[in-house]
Amino acid sequence: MRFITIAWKNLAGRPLRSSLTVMGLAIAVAAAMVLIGVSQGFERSFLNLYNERGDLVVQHAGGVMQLSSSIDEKLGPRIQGLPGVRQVIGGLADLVALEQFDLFAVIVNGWDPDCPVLTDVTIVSGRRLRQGDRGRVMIGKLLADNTGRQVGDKIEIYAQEFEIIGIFESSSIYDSGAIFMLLEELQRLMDRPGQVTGYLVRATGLDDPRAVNELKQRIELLDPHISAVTVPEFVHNYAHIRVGRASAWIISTIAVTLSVIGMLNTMIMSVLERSGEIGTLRAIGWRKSRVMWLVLCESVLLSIGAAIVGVTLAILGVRMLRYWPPVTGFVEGNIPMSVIVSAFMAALLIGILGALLPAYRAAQLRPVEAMRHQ
Amino acid sequence: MSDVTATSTAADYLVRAENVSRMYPDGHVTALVDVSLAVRRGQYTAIVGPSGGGKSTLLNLLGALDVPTSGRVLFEEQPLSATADLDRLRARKIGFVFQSFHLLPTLTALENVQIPMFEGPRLSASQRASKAGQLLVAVGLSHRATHLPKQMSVGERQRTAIARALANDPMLLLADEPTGNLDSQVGGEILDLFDRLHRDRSMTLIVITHSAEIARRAQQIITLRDGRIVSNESVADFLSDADATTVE
Repeated sequence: MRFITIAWKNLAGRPLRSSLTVMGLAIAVAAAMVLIGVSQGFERSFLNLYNERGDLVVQHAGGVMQLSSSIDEKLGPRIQGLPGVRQVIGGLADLVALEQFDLFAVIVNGWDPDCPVLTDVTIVSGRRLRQGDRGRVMIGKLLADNTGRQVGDKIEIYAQEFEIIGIFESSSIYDSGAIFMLLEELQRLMDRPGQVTGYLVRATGLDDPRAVNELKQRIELLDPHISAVTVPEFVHNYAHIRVGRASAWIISTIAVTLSVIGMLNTMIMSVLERSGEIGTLRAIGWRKSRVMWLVLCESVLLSIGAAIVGVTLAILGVRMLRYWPPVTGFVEGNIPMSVIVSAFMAALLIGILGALLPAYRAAQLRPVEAMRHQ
Repeated sequence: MSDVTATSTAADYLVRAENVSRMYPDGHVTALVDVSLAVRRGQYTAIVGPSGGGKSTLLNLLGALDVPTSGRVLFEEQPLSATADLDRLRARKIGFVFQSFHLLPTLTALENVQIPMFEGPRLSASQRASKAGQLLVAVGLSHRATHLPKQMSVGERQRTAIARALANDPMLLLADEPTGNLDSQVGGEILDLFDRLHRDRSMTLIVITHSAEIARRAQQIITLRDGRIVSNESVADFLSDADATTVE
């Protein structure tokens, strides 16, 4: 018999308590993983999306919410004219509710007809937007799947009906869940004529950090009310991502703290219940450290079980979440390996932290007194 | 009251108590008062006396499970108070058999016997299992090796506990009313087992008992009453004083 067998059999001998503890911790692990995984996935996907289209983001200076940023669209050609600039993409963005489908945050983008974004996506049904396509939209495949809309169907946006003329696929989950219409039409609908939310600037020679700074300065010199930041800086400081990240960590910290308390409670109860057994172990010569190690082993075994169940729940949960209408277009269907590894580490940490005090108490039991409990 | 005689040398004694007293933590009840005794190597000693007389307290002190309020206990002539690692002493040199067996309920008989081996001489998992199997054979329980305590009779549980006590080949076996929960037939089998251990392994036995049968088999009988030794005599002297099936 190996030492671990004793710990395992102690847990297996109390199946209800052990399984409840595992489930409690697993749910906490899964919740933390889903929150952090979704948050990181959101950020990563956002970063990929912007990286595909540019190196710098130009916005209204001092703005906190990207969607409320407003820049004169005449600035685009001026940026395009700067040295070191290869491509400039300007567009307007908004979030709309499609209440008939229970979707309350669908991205709407307005693009010029010749915008690379429109030409880069893959059309799976219908066609792309063209000059003069008023009252018409393209929708991402994920949105089409979630709404059941097809080419030729109508969709109501801003209390107006639009005809779906194309369904497209994109490597970005945001695009896949989005609605594209012509910039001019969205400007009209949002009552922001001649305005764009911002510009994505593709530059040349950005390997040199000095070149990046110089280009940023040149862009900002065009208009004192705009700021230019690199894509990673923009994504990292994006208000929704920051709020999402902070919320995920706060809620996860609470879940982990509750798990530690839960584990502490379970192991203390276990130690109290088994005082007699622990007293016997001490009486027949087990060192305090070995008794402590036994309690820690049991707790770590519970944690490993909880981590396995929790990771499984989280992976399944995120995959299901992707198709949950309220978050369509915002949640990726996978959890990064780094989050899975972190979850395992967190579960082990919870197991160890939750068992330290019970293990210490178990080791301090005096054999003669403890054995009277049996 | 000590049995220490002029013809015995210190090396003959495995365990000794010198003027040992033990007061309970509340400071009002004294469990043992100025008790002195000596047990030779290979000796079979019975401790008898009425309940509450201090027998178990004395056994706990001799087994390094408790410490005296005053006086001292010596094991192989080393004061326990000066022994750095009492856990190691208990694990390697002393075996305990308890009235209520104190087996771990989630482990089989074979696994229970291996428990002390984790603190004994280094053995591999297979060596531990093999040795435990041999001990179960020795106590006549090889057919119950894979059974849990709840699946065994009380006699089988006690034999498992005895096998566990022998796991690290101790010098001293301490038994606290080992037949107290057993019927006379099973109790007799346990006593026969103790006799064999004493005879075949020259093991030193100290047994607390209410059974005159155990007392008859012992070589030294110590009677405790109200925390004091009231007699310390050979079995012949004891039997001439008491002819009963139970002793107080």
